[in-house]
Amino acid sequence: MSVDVAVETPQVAGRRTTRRPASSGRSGTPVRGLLLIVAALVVWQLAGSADSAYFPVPSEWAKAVQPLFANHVLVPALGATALSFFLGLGLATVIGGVLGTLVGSSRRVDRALSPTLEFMRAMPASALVPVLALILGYTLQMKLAVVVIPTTWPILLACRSARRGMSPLMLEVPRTLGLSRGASIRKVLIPAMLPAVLLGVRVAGPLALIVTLLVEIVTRINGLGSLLAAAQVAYLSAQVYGLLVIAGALGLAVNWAVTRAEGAVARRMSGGA
Amino acid sequence: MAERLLHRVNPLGIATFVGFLLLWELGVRSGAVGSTYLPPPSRVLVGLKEISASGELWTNLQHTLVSALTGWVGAAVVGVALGMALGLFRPLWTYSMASIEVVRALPIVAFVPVAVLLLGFTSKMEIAIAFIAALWPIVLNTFAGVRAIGPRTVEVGRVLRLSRRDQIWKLRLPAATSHIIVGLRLGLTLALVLTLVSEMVGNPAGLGFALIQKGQALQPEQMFAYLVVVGACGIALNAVLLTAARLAFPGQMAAAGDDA
Repeated sequence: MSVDVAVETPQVAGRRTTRRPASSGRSGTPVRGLLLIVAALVVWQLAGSADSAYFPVPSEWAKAVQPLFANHVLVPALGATALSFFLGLGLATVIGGVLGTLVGSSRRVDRALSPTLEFMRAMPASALVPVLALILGYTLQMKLAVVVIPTTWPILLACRSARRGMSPLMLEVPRTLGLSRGASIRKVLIPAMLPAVLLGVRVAGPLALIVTLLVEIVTRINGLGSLLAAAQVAYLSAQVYGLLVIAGALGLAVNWAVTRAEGAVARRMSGGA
Repeated sequence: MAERLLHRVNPLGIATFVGFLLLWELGVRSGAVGSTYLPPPSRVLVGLKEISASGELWTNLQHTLVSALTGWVGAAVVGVALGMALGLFRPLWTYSMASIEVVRALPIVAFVPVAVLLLGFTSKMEIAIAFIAALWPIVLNTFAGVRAIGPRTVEVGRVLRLSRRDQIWKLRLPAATSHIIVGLRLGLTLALVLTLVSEMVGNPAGLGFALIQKGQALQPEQMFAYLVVVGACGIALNAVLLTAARLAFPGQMAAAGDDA
């Protein structure tokens, strides 16, 4: 059965090799490996010229981004991007978690909805942008909708398969203990689903950032993406590279955060599993 | 396999899907879900007929598929080679893996403006974007596959006194096949998504540009028709790839539980 939370992450592929600790893939990467990128940048800096139209040297990047910062453009743009990212990912987590759990709890519902879900999941996020822009206009709702729809799938699918694979015994426990419905959801269901939610978020987090930037680049709604697009249209190549570095820093931060969160939960859960 | 076949024919699921479409149709017709630009499915079908009759659909479809697939094939060749190299030569991994992870963390859409800047509004730019998009999942999955080989398999190679070359071709590569297929699938999806983006903001051609153009021309029926085509493309490409993989490597796909 295809779990297919692997929309973005390659790590999922390695899940079957349970013998290796989950952390060995990432935190085990030697820092020495950064030498390559450092060397490339140094060579670029030394060999390139400052006024190259296509490949301005790295020191120019910072200079080109500086005015955006001084004119109070960059920080609000980053704020707008962060707002869409967090709101979108938060909504997707709630929607995906709840829907995934519901769909996974009944084979019949699962079977009824799976073709519809499969088709909607196959819809590339980028294709949704013009469609939602037409229906909802160039608004924050549109931006959020574009972020929420594709990022919901990895979480939904992870939760669906986790709920489906949940041991019936686990569901008996709250009944045996005589827990109320609310308490059994809070104390049994949610903790049991948490690793799946995080597995989904791990895929959805980087995806949410990509989609947020994508909406901004395509629709020019305020954000880091629209700054990038504007710099490209104006042929400010150094500024494009500078903003690319900032986008990369955001990407790294998101990757780091989701990996840490997943690791923390995996450690807590591994005692019982 | 029997379960899979049974899963293919899913009357309940199809009925639900059709039910949703009917609900949508009725909702729009009765004005319950009111939006000027949300056409009912029947109008979308008309739009689909219009764009396929005028031939623009086929030109755009061909353009997008050729760009996405060219980039993807390039990424498959480079990505598998690079992933194998990373998995087999420890020093290469030590001195480059962290850099690769940093570059991979760059959100790929942010590369689109860079590519437009460097290559202009050309198909070459689209192919470059599709290539970059597909490259990382392929590299990292190939790498993971090569690394995931069991110690037993390595010992078998040693007992049989396989040469290093034979070890790679007869043990490592087959063992990594299911991982590589996963990477190829992810890469294909990403290549298609990013090709569309590059058409929306860069090269004015193909399905991505058609979507934007129909939106600006306020032709929601045709726009939704293109959206359906894009969705169908994603599903079809994925299915073709999976079927090809099952036919070409039946043993390895089955060994991996066929969930690649």
